[in-house]
Amino acid sequence: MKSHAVILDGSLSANAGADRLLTSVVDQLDAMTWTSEVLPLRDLSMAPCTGCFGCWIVTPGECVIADQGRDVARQIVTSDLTVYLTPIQFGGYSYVLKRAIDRSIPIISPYFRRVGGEVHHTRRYRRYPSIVAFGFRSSEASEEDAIFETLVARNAINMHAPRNAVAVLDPGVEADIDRRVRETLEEVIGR
Amino acid sequence: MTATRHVLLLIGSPKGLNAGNSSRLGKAVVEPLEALGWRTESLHLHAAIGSQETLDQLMEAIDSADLIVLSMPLYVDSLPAPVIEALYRVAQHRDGMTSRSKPRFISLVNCGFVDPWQNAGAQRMVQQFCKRANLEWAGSLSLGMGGNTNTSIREAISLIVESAQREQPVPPRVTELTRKRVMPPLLYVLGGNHIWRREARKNGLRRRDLKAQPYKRAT
Ligand SMILES: Cc1cc2nc3c(=O)[nH]c(=O)nc-3n(C[C@H](O)[C@H](O)[C@H](O)COP(=O)(O)O)c2cc1C
Repeated sequence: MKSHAVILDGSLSANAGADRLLTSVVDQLDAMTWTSEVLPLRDLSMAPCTGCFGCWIVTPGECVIADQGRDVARQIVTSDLTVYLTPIQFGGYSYVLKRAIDRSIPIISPYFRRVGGEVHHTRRYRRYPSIVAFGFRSSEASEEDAIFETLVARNAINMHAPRNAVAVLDPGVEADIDRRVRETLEEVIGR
Repeated sequence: MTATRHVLLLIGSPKGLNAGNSSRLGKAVVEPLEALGWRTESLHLHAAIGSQETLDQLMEAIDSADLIVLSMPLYVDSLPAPVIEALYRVAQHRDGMTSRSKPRFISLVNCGFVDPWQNAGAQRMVQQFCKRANLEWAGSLSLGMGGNTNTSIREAISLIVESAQREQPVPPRVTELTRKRVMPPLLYVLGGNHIWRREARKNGLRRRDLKAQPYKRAT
C-alpha cells in the first residue's frame, strides 16, 4: 500500500501564495509516489476544544463533540505524514489550523510519562504520523520564524511524531518553491 | 488625585470567567489591584470573537485600558485557537496606531504538565503579538501543574501586583521564584495517572477503556 499524507490547509482565506504552496506539496508528494488528501480546514464545521477532557475520560479516544473535528483527528492518526500549511501568526499556527490541532488530543493518551527530563503523555496508538510544517509569511524573516520552528519540534514530542521538519517561506518571493518543498519533505520521508 | 486606573482581564480558557485555572490565576492578580482602587473589567476571549458587537467591545476595552492581563492555559505547546483568533483581530485593529495610548500587557500562562518552562514558546508568541499590536510587554508568569501555587508562587504573584501598581515591568525575581517545579516529576506522573483512572471510574469506565483505540488502522 502507498504511504498516505494528510495536508491540513490552515490558510485563512483563498490566496495565491497559499495555493501555490499547496499545489507544490501535492505535486511533490505525488512525485514521491505518496497519496495525499487536502483538508480545507476553514471550510469544515469544527467547534473549538472546550477543554473538558471528555476525549480521555468519557469517550476515550474520541472527542465528545460530534462534528468534523472528529474526522480530522481520525485522518491525522491514520496517516503516515501530516503536513501543516499555515500563515505564521505571532510565531505560531493560524487559528484555523490550531483549532484542528487542539481537537486532535483524543489521539494521544491521558497517561503521563517522563521524557528527557520533562513530563509528556504516553501513546494511544502504536504508530503516529511524522509532521512537516510549512509556515508562510509575506514579510522579512523575523523572530517569529525561530518560534515557529521550536513549536513544531515541541509538538512532535507531544504528538509522538517519529520525525519532523519545518520550512518557513514567503511564497511571493521564493525562487523555487518546488525545490524547497521537496527538500523539506525529504528530510522526513526520505527516498 | 490621579484618575482611576483601568485593568482589563482577558481570560483565554474555554471555561470562562468563573471557572478553571486561568480564571483563578487572573483573579489572583487583578483582585488585589481592585482593592488598591483600580477599575477592573473582565472579558472572555472565546465569547469576544463571537460577533462584531463583542469584538468592538473587546477593542474598546483594550484601547482604554492602562494594563491588560491575559490569563490562559497552554494548548498543545501554544495558545488555544480562539485566543489566537482574538489576538489576531486585536493586532489588525491596532495596526499602525502608534499615536494611541500604549497599554501595558502581562501574560499569565498555566499548563497541565508539572514543568513551568513548557510555557516558554507560548509566552514568546504573546510577546510577538504585543509588538504587532503596539502594546507594551510588561512581563509574564508561567506556571505548571494547572497553576498550583506554593509560597514562592504566591510571593511572585504579589510582586506582579506591586509592579503593576508602580507601573513597572514584572521584576526578574518572579522568574526565579517560579522556575522550579512544584513537585518532583515522578510523583506528578504517578499522582496524575491515578487521577485519570479515578475520574474515568466515576464515568463508569474500566481501566482498559482509557486505552481505547477507536481510530485504529485497518492494516
Ligand atoms: C486541547 C488541550 C491541549 C493541552 N495542551 C497542553 C500542553 O501542550 N502542555 C501542557 O502542559 N498542558 C496542556 N494542556 C493542559 C492545560 O493547559 C491545563 O489543564 C490548564 O490548567 C487548563 O487551564 P484552564 O482550567 O484555565 O482551562 C492542554 C489541555 C487541552 C484541553
